This record gives sequence, C-alpha cells and structure tokens, in this order.
Amino acid sequence: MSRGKALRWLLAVTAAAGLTLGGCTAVTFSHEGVIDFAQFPSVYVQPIVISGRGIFDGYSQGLQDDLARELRERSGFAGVTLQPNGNYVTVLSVELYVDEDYDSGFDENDTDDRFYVEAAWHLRTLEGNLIDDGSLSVEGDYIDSTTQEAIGEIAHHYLRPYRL
Amino acid sequence: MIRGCVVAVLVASLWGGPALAKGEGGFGLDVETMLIEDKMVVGIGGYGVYKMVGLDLGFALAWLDEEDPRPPVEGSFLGGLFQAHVFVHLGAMRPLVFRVGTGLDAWLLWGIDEDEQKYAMPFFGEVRYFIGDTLNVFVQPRYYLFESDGLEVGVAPDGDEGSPFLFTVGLGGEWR
Repeated sequence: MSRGKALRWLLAVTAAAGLTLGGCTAVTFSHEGVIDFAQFPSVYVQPIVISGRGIFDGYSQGLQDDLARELRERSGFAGVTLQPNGNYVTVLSVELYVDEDYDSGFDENDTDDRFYVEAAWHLRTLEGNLIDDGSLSVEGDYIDSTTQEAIGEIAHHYLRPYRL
Repeated sequence: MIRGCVVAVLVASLWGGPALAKGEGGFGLDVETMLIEDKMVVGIGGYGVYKMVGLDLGFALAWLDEEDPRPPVEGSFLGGLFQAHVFVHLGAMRPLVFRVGTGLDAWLLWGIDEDEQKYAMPFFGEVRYFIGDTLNVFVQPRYYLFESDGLEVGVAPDGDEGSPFLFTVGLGGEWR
C-alpha cells in the first residue's frame, strides 16, 4: 500500500471514528400502557362469549385459556386468573363474533373461505365500573388463526409499559 | 456530531475519485449502520435510480447495547427496521453525490412484543462519496417529520434531550 493510500485510509478511519463517537443520537421506544397497572395489577378473564359460524362446543374454553396465557406473557397485569373465586381487582369480558364468507366459484375443489372476526372487550372493576374497553376486527383464511389473531391483539392492547 | 460530519466531508474532498454517472439508470447495494446511543442498528439496502429519481428499500436489525436485559426485552434483540424511501438526485460534485428523500421507516419491535410497531416518515439528505466507479461511502442524516407515539428521536430513555437528527453511515456499491 502506498503512503498516500495509507494516509487516505487513516483519514477515513479517523473520520468514521469521529462521526461515530460524536454523531450518536438518542432514540427511545416507549409505551405507557392503556391503564395504570399499578392501580389495577390483576385480572380475571371471564369465559369468552363467542357466536357466529363455524363455532363448536368447547371452542370458547380454549380461547379463554389462550387469552389468559397471552396476557400473562405480554400484558402489564402481574396476575391473570381464570378462577372467578381467585384474587383479582379487575374483570375482563370478551365477546367474539365470527362470520364466514364461502365462495366455491366454478370449481368445487377450489373453495375460497374467508373468516371475519369482530371482537369487543370491557375491563371493569369488581364494582362494575368501566376502566377500559375496545373493539377490533380481523380477517383470515382459517378460523383458528383468525380468532387467535384477535386474541393476540387484545393482549397487545394491554401491553406492559416500557421505555428503552 | 456536526464536527464529525465536517471531518467526513473534508476527508471525502481529500480522497478524490473518478467520474460517476455513465447512464440514466442504475442500481446500488448498501451495508449501513445507524449511529444511535446505547443501541446497535445494522442493515442492508438496495436502490434503483432512473435519471433524477430513485427508490430505496432497506432492512436492518436492532439490538440494545447493554448486556443486562431490560424488561420487556429478554435478551438484547429489539427488532427490525424496514425502510422504503424515494429520493431525488440533487446533483454531483465529483466525487460527491447529493440526494434528498422521504418515505417510511417501520420499526418492527419483535423483541418487545410480536405486534409492537412504530412508524415514522423521515426526511433525509445523503452525501455519497465514490471511491471508484462503483464503491462508495455515504452519510445520511434524517429527521422524522411524523412519528408514532412512543418513538422519540433525540430523547434518551432517562429524558435527556439532544439532537433530533439520526445519522446513518454505510458502504455501498453502485452500478450504472
């Protein structure tokens, strides 16, 4: 390497180091939480009320379990229970409505199902006072993945606060 | 930070380089890093340019610098940054090329939560220095015109405020 080329590389490295050391900008990602989890640290997840097409007995129980698991993993609630006689300070009720759009087209073997899930939820105190509520709608090709997506979005709604 | 940029431009001016554009269109590939305090963001990108206008797509991964996990991040992995930008070629002062652009920055924060996302609309400038016909280095300051709640540039997690400009530096190749 010639002296001139080495000098250029040295200058480039110096510039890069200067830019790196002097040019860093602070970036913060944060989420405040939709409720005060210090005031409302625990929740009882009521059995999910589900109606519409493609629903069978016992489907609601699985979704209730799934929602509780998702809330434990992702939400700001320190305690999540499925037991109505447990220790909790809030109650989460969820209603799901499932609709199915069935289009067989011209080919009987080439069906095109489409599932639509509408969800509404209410978080209340033990006295019945409303703390938070919301609704959403999702759609997908399979009923399981579509209802799971709705459940996941409800859990994400109660995402734990962070600041990084 | 400004001092760093001035040094970089001075070095670029000293370095010298050959001519740039040979045709009306071309494409390029970049490896790049964002200069962010306490976080590491490293990615790749590609762009196509025709005459004065170009489209740039990039993807980067982001980590916290700290070894100790900070809830809700279990390790240090924060997520990804998807970038879709359009840019305008402002001109060239050989061997420097100047661009400005805007588009979408999508921060997909899987390390925090699988559905956690932040979006921003950046405005950026770019100075690209060609070392040869193909190889180049670049610096790209950007400012977020709009951003999601919970995405703060120039604000540290402890509340300390600084410059609102994000800097990306990288190494690229361009073929025309």
